Amino acid sequence: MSILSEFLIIIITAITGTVLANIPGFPLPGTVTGMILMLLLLLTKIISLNHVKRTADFLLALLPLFFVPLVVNIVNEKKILSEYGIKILIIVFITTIITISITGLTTKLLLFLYNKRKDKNV
Amino acid sequence: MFEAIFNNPLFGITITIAAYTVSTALYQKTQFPLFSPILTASILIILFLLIFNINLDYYQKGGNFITLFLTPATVALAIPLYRQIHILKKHFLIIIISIIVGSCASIISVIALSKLLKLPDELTLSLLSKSVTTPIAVDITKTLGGQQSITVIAVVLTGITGAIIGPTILRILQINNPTAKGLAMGTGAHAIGTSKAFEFGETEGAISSLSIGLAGIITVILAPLLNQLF
Repeated sequence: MSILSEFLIIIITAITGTVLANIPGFPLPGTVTGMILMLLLLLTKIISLNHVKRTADFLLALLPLFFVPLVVNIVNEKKILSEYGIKILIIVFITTIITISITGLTTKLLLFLYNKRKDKNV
Repeated sequence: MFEAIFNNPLFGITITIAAYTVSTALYQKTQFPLFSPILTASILIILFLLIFNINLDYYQKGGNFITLFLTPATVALAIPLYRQIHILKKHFLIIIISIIVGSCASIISVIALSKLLKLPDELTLSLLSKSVTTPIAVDITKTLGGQQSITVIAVVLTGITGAIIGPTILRILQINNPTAKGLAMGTGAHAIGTSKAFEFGETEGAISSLSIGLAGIITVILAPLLNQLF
């Protein structure tokens, strides 16, 4: 597969996802729909990893670059930032601690229950 | 003469790639999460525009081209998910339940703190998806009606916070199992947390990268629901 045909497969999947997401009542946004579609294509072996691998890895490696212009738009939000910047930082900091703690503790508890049940069965 | 340069989309594309290249080099030299290339590159570009008094619209003529690649790049996220799918099959329930609980904790804590600090609704909506990977987070914000630029910054800061203090949190709570560590880092701090998880070990990294996509899909469904509920 050439890089270009790999890219073609990826953008056709992306566009299909966007089109599906535009159907009234469709519950998911376009990009996520495209991602799930790609996962299904791979799982059903309609396309193999070799058909998309190199271009996908290239796009993923550059992912941070694609956001830079969106962040630059922040210059239009000076008012929001000067008014709420500190509050946003506080929220980000605390909620990140909460999310990491709760996720980790949930897994720890589930693994504990799973192992206890396994021990009983043995 | 300058008009001709600014009107050309290549202007925005060039300074974005230049700023990104410099920022990536800086990050690779220091390896410090705070020097995340998205953040440094954006600051460099903003400074450049301010110093030379260049209108944002000129910059975005090229910037929009770069943003276009976000959708195919998100579709490409299916590839790491597919590569780690065997881990998901092995511990399906544990992984899914942990990510659902973690994503709920993230969304609900954002709503609660925003209410406590009296944030305007539009800002709260922009923060709801802050724990998931940027392309999906931006999409969620678009659906909910928030500000995408705020979302991107919140997502990046979340990743940086998670990468810096995540290991300490896991140590204090005595979370030592590789599956638990990977899930916590990937669900709480997406790709930036995942790069830290790879420093713990191969299993932690693999599970963390699996969590990025799954937490994204789960948050797409949960964020609007929880937002209506509270």
